[in-house]
Amino acid sequence: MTTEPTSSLLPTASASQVVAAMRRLVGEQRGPALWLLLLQGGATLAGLVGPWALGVVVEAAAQHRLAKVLVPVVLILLSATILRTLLSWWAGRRGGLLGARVLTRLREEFLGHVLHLPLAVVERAGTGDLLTRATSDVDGLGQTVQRALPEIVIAMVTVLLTIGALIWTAPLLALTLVPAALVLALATRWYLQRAPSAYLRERAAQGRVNGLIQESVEAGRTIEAMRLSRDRVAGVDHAVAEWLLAERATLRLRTVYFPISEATYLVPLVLSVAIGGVLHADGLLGLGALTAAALYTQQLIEPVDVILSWLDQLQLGGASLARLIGVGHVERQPVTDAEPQGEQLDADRVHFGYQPGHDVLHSLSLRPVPGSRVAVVGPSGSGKSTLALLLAGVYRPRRGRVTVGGVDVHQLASERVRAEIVLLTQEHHLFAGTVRDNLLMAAPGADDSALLEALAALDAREWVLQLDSGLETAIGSGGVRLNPGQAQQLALARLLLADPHTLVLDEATSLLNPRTARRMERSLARVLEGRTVVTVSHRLQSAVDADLVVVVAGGRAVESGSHQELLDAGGGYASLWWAYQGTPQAGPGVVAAEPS
Amino acid sequence: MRLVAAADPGTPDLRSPDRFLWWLARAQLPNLVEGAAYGVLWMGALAALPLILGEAVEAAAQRRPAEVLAWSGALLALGVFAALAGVMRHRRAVANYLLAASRTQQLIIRCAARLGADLPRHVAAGEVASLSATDVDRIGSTFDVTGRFAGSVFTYLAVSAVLFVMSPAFGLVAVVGGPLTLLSLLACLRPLAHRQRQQREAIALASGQAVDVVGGLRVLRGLGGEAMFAARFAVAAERVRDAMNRTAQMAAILTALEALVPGGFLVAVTWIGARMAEQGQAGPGELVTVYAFAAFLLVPLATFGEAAQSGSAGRVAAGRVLTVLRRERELREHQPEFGAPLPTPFELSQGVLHDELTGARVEPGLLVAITSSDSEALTELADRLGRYVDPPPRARVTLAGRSLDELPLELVRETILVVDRDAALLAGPLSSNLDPNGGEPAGARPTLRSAIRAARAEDIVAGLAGGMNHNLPEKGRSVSGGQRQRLVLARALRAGPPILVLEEPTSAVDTFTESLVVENLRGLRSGLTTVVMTTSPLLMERADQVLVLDGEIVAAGTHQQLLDREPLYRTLLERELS
Repeated sequence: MTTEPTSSLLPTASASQVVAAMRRLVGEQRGPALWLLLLQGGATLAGLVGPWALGVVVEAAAQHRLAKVLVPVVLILLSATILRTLLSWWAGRRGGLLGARVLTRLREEFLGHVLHLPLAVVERAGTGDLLTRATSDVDGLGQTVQRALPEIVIAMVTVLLTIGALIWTAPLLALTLVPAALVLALATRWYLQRAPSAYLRERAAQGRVNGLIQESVEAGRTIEAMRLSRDRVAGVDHAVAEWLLAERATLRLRTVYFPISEATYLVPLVLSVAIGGVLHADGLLGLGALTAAALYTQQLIEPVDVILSWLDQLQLGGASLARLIGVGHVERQPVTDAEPQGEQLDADRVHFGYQPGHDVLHSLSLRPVPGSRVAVVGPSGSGKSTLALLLAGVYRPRRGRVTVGGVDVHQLASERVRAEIVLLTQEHHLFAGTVRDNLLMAAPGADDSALLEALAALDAREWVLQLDSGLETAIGSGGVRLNPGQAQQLALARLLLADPHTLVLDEATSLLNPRTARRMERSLARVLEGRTVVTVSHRLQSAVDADLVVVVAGGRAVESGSHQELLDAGGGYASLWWAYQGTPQAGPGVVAAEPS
Repeated sequence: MRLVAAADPGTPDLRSPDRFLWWLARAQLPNLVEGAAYGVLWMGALAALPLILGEAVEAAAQRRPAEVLAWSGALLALGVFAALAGVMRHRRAVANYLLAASRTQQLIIRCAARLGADLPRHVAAGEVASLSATDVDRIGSTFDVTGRFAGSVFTYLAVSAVLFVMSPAFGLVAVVGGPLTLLSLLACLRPLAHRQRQQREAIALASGQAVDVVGGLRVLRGLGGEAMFAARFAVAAERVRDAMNRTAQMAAILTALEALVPGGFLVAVTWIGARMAEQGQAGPGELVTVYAFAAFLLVPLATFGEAAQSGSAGRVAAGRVLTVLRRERELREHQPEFGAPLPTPFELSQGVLHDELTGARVEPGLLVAITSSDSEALTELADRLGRYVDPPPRARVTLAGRSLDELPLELVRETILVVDRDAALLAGPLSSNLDPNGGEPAGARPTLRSAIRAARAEDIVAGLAGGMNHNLPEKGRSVSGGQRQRLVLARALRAGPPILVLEEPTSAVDTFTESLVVENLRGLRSGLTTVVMTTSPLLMERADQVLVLDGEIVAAGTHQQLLDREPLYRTLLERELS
């Protein structure tokens, strides 16, 4: 199952879903958003006083009546400057608040969706894609939301009000914006059609360099052993060359776009001065209005540049957003309200395949007596793990049924299934947090004595209490490193605390060394007395104590019975057992049912 | 402009961060000089715009439309020139960033290659990751800003001079106001950088939690704890929000400064200019010029602040890069005497491999299993046999009578391949992963196909999308632990070293498959020396010889011999089987 392709199984939100989500997110922050608009509007208006004031001074100077206007104008300019400073400061704070709130909401929502993904989706999609979404997409979007959102709002307000001031001062000169806007729109469209993919390529190429270097460090031993050092250096050099190529591609785009936009920014100024100068000569426009208008066109440059420079970021941010929100659009199986009656787990003539026409399980039945121990053994790829996933309700059988207490397991909600059946695999993830956190997740209400009791049952009480802070000790990523045996013990203690009546252990101890695994299974058996335990394992030792051994091969149950019965029957199981024991009764030839 | 990676990054000057940065600078000096020149042209043109604008307004004030049009044309020409010089400056800046960054990346990978197995023992991978991402970026940025910095120095001085010529009072405003502005900018930039760092840390923490949840999602969804993790994450997200707010507060002060400084300049020059105009010393044109200058001056001043910040960040980053680049290999390596004949790997492998510390003797051409109840001791023995550690004093490891630490490391690696428990798969196509060195099968080297078949890894290859062309992600994350073990074994078999040391090669493989793998291993390595560190009875039973390690080698013989006469071995096995 781990070899399933990892892409395409998690949805990406459509454009309309992204827009709807954005509207909702900003809508939730209507207060901060309105504040931002209001404050920035005030700051922009105060900033528009400057050109007006200079216009008045120039006009007055030309008419030699400066003395009258100078003091009031300069006082107005001074107060406007102070007001603008204060309002920009305030708007900056509110803007930051808005970005931070939206981003926090996004983060929390995303994790909420992740936490409630159906197990079947997690199982089939793998965690690679999710991991990318949780890291690069969230980070990429963070940049965009934190800075872009407020900056764009601020810039838009500034542009609109400045255009208003220009129209109010000299409506005719405002028309000079039109040709510039047209050129900019065309150039920007050209750029945006090419930029996002080029930047994605650039980012991927750079990520590849970093990834290769990091891997070279982590796998330093392997690389030295396989004598690959030179290849690695050559590989990174190649990746660096590719990265520079990708950078050159984006640089080419900017080499075209930047000078066009920069030159175009000046067009309104040039036209205003030229047309305004001619108009003034004809007495159609005051010198003050000409001056103020020219300066307003200058003041437009910065906010327009801010908006344009965020556009390509916004496109990339939109793609990240679509991938984040997409996780919330995973289709969910309908859930039943039916309550299981009793503890009987029953797989009845189950057929299942991951791809249509390629069944992995063929009419497989398993009906463990409640409270008994069943061992499922068989070679890799025989369908054992798939059977475990079906028993735990992760997948739905193509034909046949898997029921617990008469209810189809796959129809029960994940939260409901775990009260009945828990599947434990070789993946013993310890979460970053305290030992207590790692145990409490399975039994939120449990007190310390219950936790210690569970640990004691697995011989883990002693070493946990000897850790620096006992149950409070931080473990997992960034915390105290536990050895695989200890990690396993905690994982099993967690299982005990979850307290289901049926456990499915899929190679749960396979990563331990066989001796530890054996001891662990022993203590587990003691603790699990009275529960139904289905052990899926490639190690034959697990089968010795089982009430029932089922040998699965090629997706079918080929042998079943107790260990002794199977030995007496002298089939494949028996010959393998003897080979494993190292006794001369059977040679490898009997084991190899298939040619080697 | 040559934006190409260096074929060889050269030998860096590691004496100090400054010397390192200077060493980088020298390698791209022409590009730095060109960047500075374009920076001066670009910003010079921008700084000249107010002069032309003033002339145009003056002409308008004098009601001379022809002159207005001429000056407007000049304005346009200057603007176009500025745009062109600007993009040339940008191109040099990007090249300066990339040349410095890529050269540093190349140095880091060469250092990693030189340190090999040492590096992961001493440097956390995450640390190098931040080195190759963050610090390299900072070093690049230090070079990126140089062109703009040069332009800023030039224009700040030039504009101040022009203002002085127009009126000493104007000049005074620029000369006094400039440093004041710069100081207040720097006063904000430092705490801003600090808060941004705190914000990054908070974000890293929250991302770490998200990664943790995703990594353990199967466990989480199977066992419960969603509410608990959501609550924990909410706390982390809240902390990010607070950190972002604190950053925004500081950034808001900067925004306010950006409003205050030109505003203050404007008030001052409007006042002074108007007084001069009153006395007939300045016309409308001068007023507009001075006003536009005042607005322009913030650009060089802000650039000074940025340059100061990225310069100091670049030095810190260079210091961090140096801590890794300065590392030396820990293994002692004897340079063979010049001219002294060296044995070939094949000749070496015809002799006994002997660990004096434990007394382990591996006879050539056999499959030898070494077992112990102490798996750590087995790992240490494997490390000694492969010379991944220096031997303890007076206890050599010899091969064919020659001490391993007196042979060139390269020769030892060619002769002995140790596959440790954590042997990793690497990113890239499966085929080049399993067969990195390629080549025709010869002697000890089987074909890739038969190596894969021997490791029983065909079904894994068949199951991967693309088969042998499947592109493995970093560290081969798309395959499970058990699959990795078999693929790593196939790779080792295909490499066909004269001596192969395997640590627990079949621990994650089912008994059915294990027995087939062991049989294939015997066949494929017949006549070649193979050592397996194992506790698997199956492996021991099929080995030519079993060594029992308990501090030192306490027993040796075939599985059957040991069963018959060694009680310790029987206990070991019984514990394994019971």
